[in-house]
Amino acid sequence: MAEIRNKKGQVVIWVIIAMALVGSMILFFTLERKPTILNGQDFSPESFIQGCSEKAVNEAVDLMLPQGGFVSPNNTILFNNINVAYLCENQGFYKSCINQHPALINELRSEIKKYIMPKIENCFSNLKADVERKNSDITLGNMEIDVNLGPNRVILNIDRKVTISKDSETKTFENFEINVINSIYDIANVAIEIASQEAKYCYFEYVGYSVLHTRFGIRKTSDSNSNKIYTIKDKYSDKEMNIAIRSCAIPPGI
Amino acid sequence: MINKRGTSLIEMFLIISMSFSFAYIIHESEGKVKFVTEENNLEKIYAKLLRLLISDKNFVSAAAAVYTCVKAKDGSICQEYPVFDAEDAAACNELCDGSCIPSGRDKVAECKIGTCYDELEGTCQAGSPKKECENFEGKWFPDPFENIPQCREGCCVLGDQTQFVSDRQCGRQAELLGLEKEFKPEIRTEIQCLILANSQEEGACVFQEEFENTCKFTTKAQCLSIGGEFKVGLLCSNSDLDTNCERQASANCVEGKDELYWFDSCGNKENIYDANKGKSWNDGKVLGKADSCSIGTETNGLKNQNTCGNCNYIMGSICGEKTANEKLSDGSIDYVCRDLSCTDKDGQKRVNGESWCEYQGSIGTDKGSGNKLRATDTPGSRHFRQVCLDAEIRTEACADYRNEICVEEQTKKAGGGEFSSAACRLNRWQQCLEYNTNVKNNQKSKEKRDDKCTQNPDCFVKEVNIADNFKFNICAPKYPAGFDLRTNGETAEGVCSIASQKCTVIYVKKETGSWQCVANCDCEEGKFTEQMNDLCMSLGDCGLSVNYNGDLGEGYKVHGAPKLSKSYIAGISKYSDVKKGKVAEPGNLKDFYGALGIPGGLGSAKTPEDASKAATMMGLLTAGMVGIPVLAAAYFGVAGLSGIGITSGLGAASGEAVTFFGGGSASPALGAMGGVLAGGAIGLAATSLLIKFTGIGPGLSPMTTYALLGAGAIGGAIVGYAAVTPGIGAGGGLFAGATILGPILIIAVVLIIVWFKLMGVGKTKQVIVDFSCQPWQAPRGGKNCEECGKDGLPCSRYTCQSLGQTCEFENEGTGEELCINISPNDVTSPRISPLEIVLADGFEYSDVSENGYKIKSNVEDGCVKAYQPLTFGISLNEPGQCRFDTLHTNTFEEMEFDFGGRNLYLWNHTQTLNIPSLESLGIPGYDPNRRADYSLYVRCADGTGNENINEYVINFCVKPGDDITAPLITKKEPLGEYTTYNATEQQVTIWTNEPSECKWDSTDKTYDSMLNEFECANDVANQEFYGFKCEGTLGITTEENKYYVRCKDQPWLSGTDKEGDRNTNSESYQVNLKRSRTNLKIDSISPNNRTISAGVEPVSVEVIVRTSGGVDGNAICKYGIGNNLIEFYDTLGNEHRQVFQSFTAGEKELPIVCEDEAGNIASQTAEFNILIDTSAPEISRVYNTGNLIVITNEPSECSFITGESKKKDLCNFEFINGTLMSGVDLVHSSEFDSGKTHYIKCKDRFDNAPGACSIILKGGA
Repeated sequence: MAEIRNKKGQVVIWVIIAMALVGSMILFFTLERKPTILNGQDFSPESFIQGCSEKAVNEAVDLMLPQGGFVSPNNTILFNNINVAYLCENQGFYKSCINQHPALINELRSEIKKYIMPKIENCFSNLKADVERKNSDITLGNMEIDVNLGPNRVILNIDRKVTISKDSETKTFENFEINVINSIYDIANVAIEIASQEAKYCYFEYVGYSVLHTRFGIRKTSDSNSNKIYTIKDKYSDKEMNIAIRSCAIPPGI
Repeated sequence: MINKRGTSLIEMFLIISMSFSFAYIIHESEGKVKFVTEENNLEKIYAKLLRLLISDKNFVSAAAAVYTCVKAKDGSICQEYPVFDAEDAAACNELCDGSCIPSGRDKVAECKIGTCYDELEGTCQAGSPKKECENFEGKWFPDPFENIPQCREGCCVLGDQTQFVSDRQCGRQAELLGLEKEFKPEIRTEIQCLILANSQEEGACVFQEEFENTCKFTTKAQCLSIGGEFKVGLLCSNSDLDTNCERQASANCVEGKDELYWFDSCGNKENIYDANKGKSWNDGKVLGKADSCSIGTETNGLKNQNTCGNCNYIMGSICGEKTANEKLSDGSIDYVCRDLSCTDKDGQKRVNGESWCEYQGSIGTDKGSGNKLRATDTPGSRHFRQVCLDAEIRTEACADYRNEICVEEQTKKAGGGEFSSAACRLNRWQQCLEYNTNVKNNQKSKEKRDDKCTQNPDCFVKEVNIADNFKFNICAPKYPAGFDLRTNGETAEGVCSIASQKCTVIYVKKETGSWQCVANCDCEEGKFTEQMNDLCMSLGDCGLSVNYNGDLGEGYKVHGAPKLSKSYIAGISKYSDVKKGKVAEPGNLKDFYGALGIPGGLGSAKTPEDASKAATMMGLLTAGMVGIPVLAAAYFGVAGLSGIGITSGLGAASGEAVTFFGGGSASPALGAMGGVLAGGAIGLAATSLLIKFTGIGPGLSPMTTYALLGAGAIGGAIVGYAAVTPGIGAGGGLFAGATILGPILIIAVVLIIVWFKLMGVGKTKQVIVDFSCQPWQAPRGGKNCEECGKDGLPCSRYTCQSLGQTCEFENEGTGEELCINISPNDVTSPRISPLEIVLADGFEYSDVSENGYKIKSNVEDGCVKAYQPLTFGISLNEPGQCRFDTLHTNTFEEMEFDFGGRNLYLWNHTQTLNIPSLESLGIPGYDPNRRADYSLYVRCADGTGNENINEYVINFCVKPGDDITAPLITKKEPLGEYTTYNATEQQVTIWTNEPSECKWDSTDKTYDSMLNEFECANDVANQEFYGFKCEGTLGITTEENKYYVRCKDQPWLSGTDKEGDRNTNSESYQVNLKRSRTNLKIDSISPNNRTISAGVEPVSVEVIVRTSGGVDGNAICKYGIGNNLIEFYDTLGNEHRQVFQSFTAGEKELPIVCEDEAGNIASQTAEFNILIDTSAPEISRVYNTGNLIVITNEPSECSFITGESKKKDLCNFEFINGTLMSGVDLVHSSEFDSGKTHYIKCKDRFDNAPGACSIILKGGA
């Protein structure tokens, strides 16, 4: 009899343990699901901003590269129906060109920043809408964006305080560092080299450069007005940049 | 005594009369019959060249002023605009976002050009304007060529990659990649740096992952960063490492590498693919490229393509996806070494990186008429460079209008065959023409011009040799330039007109009454037109030629000689075909680069052999002339020979006579002989003088000339004999008869001469043969427009427009460019109407209808005065070519003259006409009421070829003109007053507005009282841009010389009863000539006789020259590079500056020549040495005196950091971040903490610092 009682006890214990396990599992999953808005993969603010910013940066670069590195370029020449900015130009004759964008990388950074600023603002607005749709509260602080260009990448530092709260839980994000794989920096350095050599020697030997730097394929097209268009292709990323040069032009006749 | 006196008188007479005879010969050979000599032609050519070179608006350097726009409305920065007048200035302001600054760019602070250094990014940009650089936070340096320490490049190691960048750029990239900066300044070339990337030590990086050994193949630095154990030189699949990576699981290409690699099962790169797996695996050890399989041999670079993955980009292969033809034997592998070679259109195999030239027809020179060379590049043709890159042939167009030419050179390949290298380079065609302007009036100068011309591979000596007196050389371009007639036809007209020449053919009336050609007779033959067209087409797109498509276009007019023959045209037509194997020479671009301040090869430059050589080259703005000896024509040869023969004889005879007389003999026989000789001489001289003064000489045959001179001499001899032999008349019949015969002979000679004179014997007439070289005009219409680009070469605006007058290049810049016929349905000829704007004041158009108009003077009956120049014009409703004639013709083609002398297709045409005299219109007489009706018949044709069928008549009535105005001196040369320091005379040229005779004197007096005459060219054919030219040589006797000049018009009235109608200046034109007080002097040249040290190579050096003396110390200075003198960038003052951007180390010699406005010349050679210090300072001694003392081998600054252990990585600290030691010379000190390791870095004044530490010190050192 005592044995039976013992067995019953064991069963009860086991049942209790099982129930406890099930309960704790239910509790575990319930508790885990609750802050999904903060940590879950679908709603991670970092990935949300990363993806959104990446798109904005690539969009900016794709717009800028064919146009000489500018979103809305001034002082351009039409080439293949694209307005290509002069990086180095002398509108007169015989003299070498004047660098029109003497700190090109800085200008590219500003240009990207100018383009992505409203886009990223929009990203945060979308994030806010998403978060609020999920019945969470979100507050967005002032935004500062720092754009840096490096080998094969565009690095964004978005300084913005984002606070998400639901019920009593609050999570704060302050700095978003986003690395976008992009070759604008590498291509721009080739463009700088071309412009500098044209300013110094009225000439850039693109064949030699292409053979030495197998990553880049450079094409040169010239028109009847002594304008030269260099198309720099990054073979790794297939991105192409056009730049216009007018240096040591010689008029027809004297 | 009497005899002696008489003898002396005879001697004197002989001498005087003989000098007359010589004078006659000389006079006849250079005076009366004026030849159009080579000098005359060349002078005109050079005058045209000079006008062209100095007056064209496009030639910025010759612009009156240059304005700078800091920022234009279109966003362009610091552009210069040439400003000639207020209109140009207003146009500049219109373009500019603000106002244009009336100064050159270099004088505008915001636009000073230098190097922009981005302190954050470490990038350098040459040729950057100051303000724009600073606007974007750049640091601006005045050196525009990046020759600053911050821009010095070295090798930056970033992981397994290397980049040849500046120190700061390396730091920035490392920072952004999160890598340790490793900068190697000692690596000075990009190739060395790239090689370094391939020699980075790699190996297996073993680490634990999920409780097992795994591996990553990487560099040591990266391995350490992930905390792995680095096994240098081993593959991850090496069995000794006991990793989970299996060898050779796949093969793939690697980004940034040429070769195909094996990969292990963990995805790690292994060795280069080889079908022999074991060999490739190499027992799990890294196998270098050199030890791997060989992809091919010297003769077949891809022989082992199906078994080996050792691709080599430079040698012509790279790893890529396999194709049907290119694959490995192992079909499971999708990659292979892809062949990067190409096959050109001729089926020739070209290797990767090979380039060659492609032309659109013949290039360079070929033998033309008279076996003389002519240039053959056809209008519309362009040079192209083709490049084989990545298995693709790319076509690069050289600058249009043949401003660039494609040059090609072959080098032998190691395995046989040739490797071709081509480049588009500047065509120095202008330089060829410029050489002609430097030629002075002597043979040596001409030879120098020819030498220079021959040495310049872009030029050739174009010979024109049509007749004895119509032959000359010109330095012409070997690859003549093309023109844009639709936007700048004037320039084309200017260049072509150099070959517009008149040949004056001389005819003399012979004693038979016929006219005989005596000089330049061949100018009336076909060879004149042919050789002149050869010259014409050698200057540019001028003359008759075919375009690159083989279609004939016109561009010349000839009057007085046959037009070009069919056989000649057939010879020209072949130039549209490419001549295989013919390429342009690379040449030496020293001169061109010299002009950019890039003194290539200057290190070996020598001073010109003599200063005069350099000085000669200064003469760009001095009208040069070539001195070709005046050649005697055949006709003069006769006169000369007879003259020489006779005078020689006379010389001998007179010699004897002198001996006789000198001997003082009083013998009657000897006296008689003297009388014969003297009389003969006198008779000869008198006959000569008569022939001379009557001017019949040129019309006499040699026989007649001998006969007359002989008869005169004999007559004179007889008379002389009778004169010195008293009583001879009574001596007998024979002697008496002889004395009568003498005078009879003399009278007969005189009568014959007078008769010849009356018959007009010896009169000359000139026939002007005129060749007009005009811009080449494309064929009318546009039926061939679509041919553009069909040869596989890109079509351009220039090429398109050469195919037809109505061909237009459309959609430029859109990528869908087309050459189309813009008027395919135009069947209407141009409609002509009067052009109001050009009509001269005081005139009006009247009776205007669609068939023509009348021009009326606003005075009296509306008739126009004869001789008066009248300007009028016609306007068209579409661009067209217009011609006119004074006689009725049936078609446009039959018409004789181009309207306005131009063959361009224009909207408006202007003609200036000298109204013909009434006499020439068939109404001679003196009646002031005479009138004549005069009409010009005009037709025009449009580009499609629609010509006016009916003539458009421009009519006016002509009335007698009366000239009551004295001539006006329109120009004087030299323009300035000063002459050179040592001048004794000065050639002065003046131009008058009408044909005139001019005189000069040192005192102001009336024209008739003036003693010295100018030599004036008054023929209508001689009229130049400024009028009629008169030349004279004025003496320079004192420091200030004043001369007075007056002229008298209508020289044709001289000696007639209308002499009184001539108008003479009542006031003198004053010519002041001041001798320079001192010679021009170069006071200083900097740098000179010193050593320049720099830390960067190449070095920028500014050469500054200061001049004084001469006129006012101001001069134009030039420096010598190669064969040429190139003007300083900043000159025309007393301080002259030029920045040279690319000096390399070594001894330099720079010849400098300065010339002031008077022609004073000073020259010197700057000598300096350039020393390049690229070495970091070395520590020669270190000791501890309580303080740390470091001694360097050169003045330096040192800084240090301290650390715990001797870790080399700490040496990557930035100099600026270290603690600066005191002392900027050789001795540097700081406190020393013996417990710490000191990492010390020293840099010299050129910022040369070691990549690592100068020294690492541990306590106790």
